[in-house]
Parts: sequence; structure tokens; C-alpha cells
Amino acid sequence: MNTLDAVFHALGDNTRRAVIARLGGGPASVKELAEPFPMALPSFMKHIAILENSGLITSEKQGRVRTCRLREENFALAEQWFDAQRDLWESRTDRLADFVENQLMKGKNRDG
Amino acid sequence: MDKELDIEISRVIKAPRDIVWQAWRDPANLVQWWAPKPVVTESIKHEFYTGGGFGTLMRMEDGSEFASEGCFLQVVENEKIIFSDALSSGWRPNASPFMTAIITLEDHPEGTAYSAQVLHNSVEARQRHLDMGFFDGWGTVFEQLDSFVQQLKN
Repeated sequence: MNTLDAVFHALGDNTRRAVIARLGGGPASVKELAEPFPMALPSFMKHIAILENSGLITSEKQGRVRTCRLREENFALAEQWFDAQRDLWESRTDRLADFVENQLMKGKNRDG
Repeated sequence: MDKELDIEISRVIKAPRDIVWQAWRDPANLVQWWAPKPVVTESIKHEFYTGGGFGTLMRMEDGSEFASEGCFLQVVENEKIIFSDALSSGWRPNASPFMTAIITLEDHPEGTAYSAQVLHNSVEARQRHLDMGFFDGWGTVFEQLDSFVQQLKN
């Protein structure tokens, strides 16, 4: 799975999105994060593992407490998206100019 | 103009405005330049007037499809086109409003001064509101665009 796929897999689940939303407010322990969800801790830990593998969060253990935090740097996907949009519109405008000059204008010259 | 959120592209097209206009007005023309080959564009809806629907379907080489539906907010013949995906046809709100594009055509000694301004909503908001379903609707779009851009580069 590439990074983008892993990210979307991670975000394709309500529980995991809720965890991300909660961590948007600051770091939290697994115990705190698990509290709102009616599931056994091992099941919840699987969600945490998926989020960690996607690079969206990181966790570290101190004593018996595992604390999770967002990896802000990996939330730059939106910016990549923006660059993609720019590329898209640049090339789209080039194709429009090319189409008008080489197709529509030629047709017009034939008619006139 | 917000440099973080807006794109502005200008070109001089060597053709009179009414000819450039035809490239937008006729769906048969639009599909020829909307997406790069080998992506195939289909015009789903092209109600080219104020309040009319604007829908395209892009089909990638691997068979995946990327549909988008928006609404023409303003259509002034040979002058201006504004469309947005915040609304679909007849002003009905879409689930994930996202962009508005303002296309303007002006006379130029060599033909037409063409500009496309594309406005987006806040990048930060998109990052911060993951729980608001942004990725539900746009995850697919995002992936499609990613593969789309990869195809552009190849």
C-alpha cells in the first residue's frame, strides 16, 4: 500500500476518524482514546496500529501508559492536493488553447 | 486572491473570443480538452446557462471513474463563466463544497486574453475537519486525482 492508500484506508473508518479528531485537540493516552468506544481494548489497539502504520499518528510508551499524537507533517496531503489542482488547471488551459487554435480555428478557416 | 488557496492561470489564445467560447459552450468540444489523453471525458450534464448543471465523468485507463457535478453560477456569452461544485443544477447544495472557478475572456491584439481563477475553501479547515466527512466524499477524488496527476507526469 502506498502512503496515500494507507491514509485513506486509515480514514475509511468511523472509529479511526474519531480518534484523529480527538488527537486534533492534543495528545492522549490509549486508555483515554478507547473510552468512548464500546469495544474490547485489543480491538481498539488494532485501530491504533492501522493509524500508526498510515503515518497519521505516532505513539510512545512511558511506563504503563501509551500516549498517541498526530504526526502533523503527514497532514500535508491537502497541500499536495492543491499542487495537483494547479497542475490540472495549467495543463487544462494549455489543452484548451491548443484545441481552439488547432481545431476550431482550422474549421473556421475552411468554412470561410 | 489567496496564494494558499487560489490558482490563477492566464493565456493568450490566438483566436477571437467567440471561437474560444465554442470550446466551452459545446460539450462535444469540451470533452476534447477537459482531461489529458488517455483519460476519456464524458459530458453528463452541460446546461450552459446561469443556474444550469455542469457534470463531467472522467474515465481513467484502468477503468476507474471520477465524476463531478457542479453548477454554472454565471454564463455571459463570450465574456465570463463562473461555476462551482458547491451547488449542483438548479442551485441544490452539494455535500462537499470545494471550489469555484471564474473564467474570463477579453479581447487581446493577438486574439483572446483567457484567464481561469480557481478558488478553494480552506486547506487548514480540510485538515482539521477530518471527522466531518471530508475524506468520505473526497477520499476517492483525492486518490483519483493522485493517479490522474501521476498519469499527467508519465
